[in-house]
Amino acid sequence: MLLLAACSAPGQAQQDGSTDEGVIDPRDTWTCVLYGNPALGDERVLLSFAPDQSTLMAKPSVDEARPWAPLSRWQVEDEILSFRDSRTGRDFQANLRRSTLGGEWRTLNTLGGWWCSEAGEEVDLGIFAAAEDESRAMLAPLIPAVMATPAYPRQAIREAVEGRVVLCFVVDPTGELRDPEFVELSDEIFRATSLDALMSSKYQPWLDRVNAAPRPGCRSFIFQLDRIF
Amino acid sequence: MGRSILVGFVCLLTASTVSAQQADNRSIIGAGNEFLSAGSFAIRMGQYDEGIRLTHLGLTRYQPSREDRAAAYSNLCAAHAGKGEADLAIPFCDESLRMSVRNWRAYSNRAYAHFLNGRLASATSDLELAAAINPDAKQVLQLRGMINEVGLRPRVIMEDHQ
Repeated sequence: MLLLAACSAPGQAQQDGSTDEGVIDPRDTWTCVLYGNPALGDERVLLSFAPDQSTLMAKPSVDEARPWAPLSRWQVEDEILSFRDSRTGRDFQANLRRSTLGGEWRTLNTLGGWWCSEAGEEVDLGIFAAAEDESRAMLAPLIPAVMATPAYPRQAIREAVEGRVVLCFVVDPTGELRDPEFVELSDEIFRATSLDALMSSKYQPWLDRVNAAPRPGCRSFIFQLDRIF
Repeated sequence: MGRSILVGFVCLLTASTVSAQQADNRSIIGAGNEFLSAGSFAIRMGQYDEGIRLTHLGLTRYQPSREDRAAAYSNLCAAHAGKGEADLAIPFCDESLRMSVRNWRAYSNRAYAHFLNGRLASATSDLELAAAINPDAKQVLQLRGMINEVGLRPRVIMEDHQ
């Protein structure tokens, strides 16, 4: 089994978690969002990928006494990171060539996504020992200033096409979006309208905050048609 | 309703008949009944009143076969639907289907008449019957798009994941 063949050695990763070759080195602790589970909604977790290939997940609201739960060992093959959460049956994958760590998860009948940003040095294995420490682990949420709604393509209505689009992107401290990337696109017919809407959106700037680095984000668009007769 | 839509549905007119188990895809080429073929042509050209007149002549002056009568009634249905007279059109489609149950054009014409009346459920039902006989027919696809545009309400749900 190939172990991070395309990545740099531990400790050589750049500050943003990527290597010189543009391949993300996952060996770190990450603040992540898992989305797409209809029962749980967005889940904010910490993921830790250790150099010995062990994987840990911490979910602050579940068990503060024993916050870190072991997942399957992580592995990288053809620049695809994969691991499994056997408790929920979710198989995770991430293309390490992307600009941010994240990708999709699947169960037998559900599909969702996840993405991460670096948790920072203050995160350690005991970060959730006390509830108030949670605030240190999680970044303040991005606050939308303008959220443009995509127009439903007329041709999609005529053909009764429904679908789902997930776009990930980077938000500058000024609140501007850049580097949009399609993580999921159920039908090409939704590409243009989703991208137009996303790039017309804006977040509130956070220039006055301590952490002024660009931050990743994802947005999903679910296109639905309701029969009215 | 735009002229382009009407033109599209006038194409439904050139129906003819079938043997009992086959879809009806023939046009009336009236070697023996020039009135019916001329009526079909006139309707296809958008001259609905003239088409209706000629078709009625064809039905009364000659003794067309059962299949040709079924096609002629379907044409009358389409012509009245083309004029926006949905309530006049539907009985002709009913009569056509009574004579030839596999006449997909009659189902499609009646679907259009129901659509004009705003009865989208009935239109959809007839359209499905037409599609079951001839699923690739351009008219069926076109009418389905029109029904969907009116009968489906689009909704976009956005979620931020951060």
